Amino acid sequence: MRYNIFKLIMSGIFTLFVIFIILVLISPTLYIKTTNLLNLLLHSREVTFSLILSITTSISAVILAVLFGLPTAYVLSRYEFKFKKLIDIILDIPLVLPPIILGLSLLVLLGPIGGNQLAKLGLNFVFTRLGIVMAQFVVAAPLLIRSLKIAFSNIDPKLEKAAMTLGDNHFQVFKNITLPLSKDGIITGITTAWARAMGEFGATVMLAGATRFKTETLPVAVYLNMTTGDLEMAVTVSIVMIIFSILIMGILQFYNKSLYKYGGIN
Amino acid sequence: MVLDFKLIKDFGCKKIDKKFQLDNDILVFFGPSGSGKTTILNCLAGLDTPDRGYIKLNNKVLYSAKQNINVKTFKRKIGYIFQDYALFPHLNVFENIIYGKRDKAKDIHKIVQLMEKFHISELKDRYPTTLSGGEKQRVALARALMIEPELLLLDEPLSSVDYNLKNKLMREIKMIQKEWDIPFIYVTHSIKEARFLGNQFLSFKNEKEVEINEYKENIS
Repeated sequence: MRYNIFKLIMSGIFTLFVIFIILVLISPTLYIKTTNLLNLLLHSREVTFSLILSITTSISAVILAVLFGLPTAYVLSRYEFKFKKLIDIILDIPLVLPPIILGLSLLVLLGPIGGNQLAKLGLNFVFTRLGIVMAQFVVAAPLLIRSLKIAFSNIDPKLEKAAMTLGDNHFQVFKNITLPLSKDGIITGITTAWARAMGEFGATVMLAGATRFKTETLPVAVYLNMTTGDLEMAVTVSIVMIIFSILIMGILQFYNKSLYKYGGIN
Repeated sequence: MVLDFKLIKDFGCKKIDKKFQLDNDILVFFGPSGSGKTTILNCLAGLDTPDRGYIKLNNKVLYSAKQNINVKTFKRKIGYIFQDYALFPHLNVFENIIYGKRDKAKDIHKIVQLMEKFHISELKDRYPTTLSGGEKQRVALARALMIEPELLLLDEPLSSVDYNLKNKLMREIKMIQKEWDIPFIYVTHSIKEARFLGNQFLSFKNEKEVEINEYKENIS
């Protein structure tokens, strides 16, 4: 029997990588006893607090990202204007910039520069929960916009024009044609943006700080417990985040399978 | 005249200047790709804005540069059949055809009649990707006619249809025009389609209008 050396090498590296990733993911569960884990998961006020805070702030950040992201992505995919390419690049910069730098920029903008004016409007971002939402929004929105931009660009503009000739105004075209046809991209974008917001740490710590039971999101809880040497608590919170990530991937896979396959429904 | 237009669109390097008056008849825009046929069609539908000129349809001014009038696309009542039909992929045949009707319940009887007329009743639950070229054309025609247009624009609707089907569909288009008795503007670069369908012609090749007899001499 002849072996395909190429296939063997590729498959070997593949297997090693898969085993490595699985080990990374399950290692926290190997460190902690199941009874301790369950006890902390079910009875720790800190885990409950950080989980609820993370969920509420990340959902708020994603709602904001959708409100700003839908029009932004639409403009970028449909209209031609001066400096479009440059603006497109600028909007992608938060994706490659370290979150801690974004957080510092937000702190300067919403603190020393605009903090007083915003405070008069009742908006305080520095060291507050609102700051967490802002940090998560800035980090997550570009991901959503990128996904929406691709989704909008994949729609044949003729479909929107056809809807107009059939009596739709621009808002109706957007609601009846553009949004339904970009459903897959919107779901993918929202899910990845939400996951990114849930996991946000660097920008959050810079803007909202890391105060226990105040601005303690899940990643911040991991950080705080590591710094105080409570590895068991840090591992428990990590496991919560891993479970969340698995759920997110599950949702994405579900939608990938059940995506509206036009023509598949007869 | 049902339709009367003069449209000028200046692209800098190229200028399109077209004028025509049309009754309830088929006017063929004939010319090679890139000669501005679709641009004029889009200007008529309100999907593009001309630089100068006017459009009058049944004595209503839809566009006039002088009077600063530009009726929005969705208010023009002009049907448009796109090159690849532009059927909405997320809607089934029935939903596609009734799309242009605001009061869908009221027009249910009309859509049933229209689907019967176009022999597409059995396709009503199917999605556009499962339809053949001929079926797609009939659905697109039914959808455009459902809004009771005062003018129908057809942008190379047979460009991706095979030879045998093309002959059949051309006959159908001609028949539908007679039955609906509204002006049709048919865009093509195929001599055969132009000859078969056209009663009047607007050439986009030589930048001048050509009357039918002159045109027929040219292409025979």
